[in-house]
Amino acid sequence: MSGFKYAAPAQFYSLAGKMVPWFAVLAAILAVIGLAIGLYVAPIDVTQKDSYRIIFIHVPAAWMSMFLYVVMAFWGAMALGLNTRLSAMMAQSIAPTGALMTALALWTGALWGKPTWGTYWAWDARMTSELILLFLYLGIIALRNAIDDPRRADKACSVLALVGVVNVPIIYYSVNWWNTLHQGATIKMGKASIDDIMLAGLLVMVFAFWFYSIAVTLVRLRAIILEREAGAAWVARLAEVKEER
Amino acid sequence: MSAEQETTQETVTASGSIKSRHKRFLWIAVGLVFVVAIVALVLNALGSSITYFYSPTDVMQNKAPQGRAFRVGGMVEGGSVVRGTDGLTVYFNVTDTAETVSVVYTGILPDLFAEEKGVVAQGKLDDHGVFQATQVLAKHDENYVAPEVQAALDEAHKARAAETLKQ
Amino acid sequence: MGEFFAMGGYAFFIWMAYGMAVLLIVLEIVAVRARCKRARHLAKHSDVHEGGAAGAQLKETV
Repeated sequence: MSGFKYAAPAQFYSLAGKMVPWFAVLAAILAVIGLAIGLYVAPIDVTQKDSYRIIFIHVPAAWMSMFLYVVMAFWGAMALGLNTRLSAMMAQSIAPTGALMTALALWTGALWGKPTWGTYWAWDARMTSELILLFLYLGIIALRNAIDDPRRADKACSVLALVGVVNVPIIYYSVNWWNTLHQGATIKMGKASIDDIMLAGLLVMVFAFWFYSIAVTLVRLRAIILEREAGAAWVARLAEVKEER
Repeated sequence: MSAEQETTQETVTASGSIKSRHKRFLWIAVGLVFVVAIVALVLNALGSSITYFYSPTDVMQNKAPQGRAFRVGGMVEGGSVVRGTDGLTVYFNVTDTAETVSVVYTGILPDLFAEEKGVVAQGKLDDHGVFQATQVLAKHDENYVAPEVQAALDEAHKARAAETLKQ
Repeated sequence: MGEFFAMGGYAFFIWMAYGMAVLLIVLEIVAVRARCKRARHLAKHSDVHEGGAAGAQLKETV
């Protein structure tokens, strides 16, 4: 039962603080390796030549955009169900990073689409649903800022997050369910139609993005905990608060 | 501090936080814009077909929209690409192996446009059943292969084909 | 070196993509660290009591 002591904002604040440096350093190391592979070591693609190298940013960002949304919706559900402050704070901390990943996926996708397909954008099911994901993230953030009472904002944002979570499987399966310009999945269960070196670079970058997201989300969570718990005795006792001007 | 007290410009909530009414309305407006955009996109997708293109079989079975622009997608039929004498017009066939649609297009083709590769053309069917395209996009598959690996695969394929012929 | 940056003629697309990734990540890190500083400042100047956040005077954005 000792794990539950971290369920309180005070305890998780210090745990998160210890976790951040590990994830940040790992993310940085993996990013350097991933970029080296993606931009230098990996060969060109027979069809797309060098333009395919955008994959090393685009796919990790797109995967994170979907993964972070599901995690955010999960914590939103926990917040609604268990009514714990920390669950709501977890959900709150994820939204901006999720929005960034979605925007990056759309931007890099457009830059990859122009030299390959011949267009920066197409309203096919994959691209449209990913754009909707961005609007969901931004809508959740706007809702958070529009509602004064943090607990009411928690509930509203959790509801919107859960309403929108159906979009994630739609994004993923869109290329199977409908005719799309976007191609199907390269990495499928047990099989990947991509050269080994390219795949290695891709997986390294996926982990780099994942660990980065964890690090930055935990830092934001610590800020949110201080914002929402300001006035608590344990906050006033923190060294970094005492040292602040 | 018990109930909400509204002053002329600010709202002081039970938790004591202050947000100017203007800022709050701005965020509500921003949120509304995104929610409306989401609803509009979803309704649009559900109303008109969510399919990005029709196959040549769809077109031959009259499943594609009549009288207005749509997209046909498939593979560029091998040997069907013919350049017009003006240098800019190109004729080719789109096929899904079952049916074929003839396409004519004037303009620059994407680099990846090639025979036996994916293509999506936007335009209209004319009275002769020829698809007058206004835009041609290349559709590529999900495979990523280094040139040497592809060359080795092609060699192995040729060797196997030669073997089967011999038997 | 020039060949590396040229990226087979796709320099514009590749560097605009990678560049945006670097830019957004740097911006996010800067923004979240600034938020931490503001939060510490807020915490320092809040009236202390046991429990919740009733002493807070300002609400953070996002």
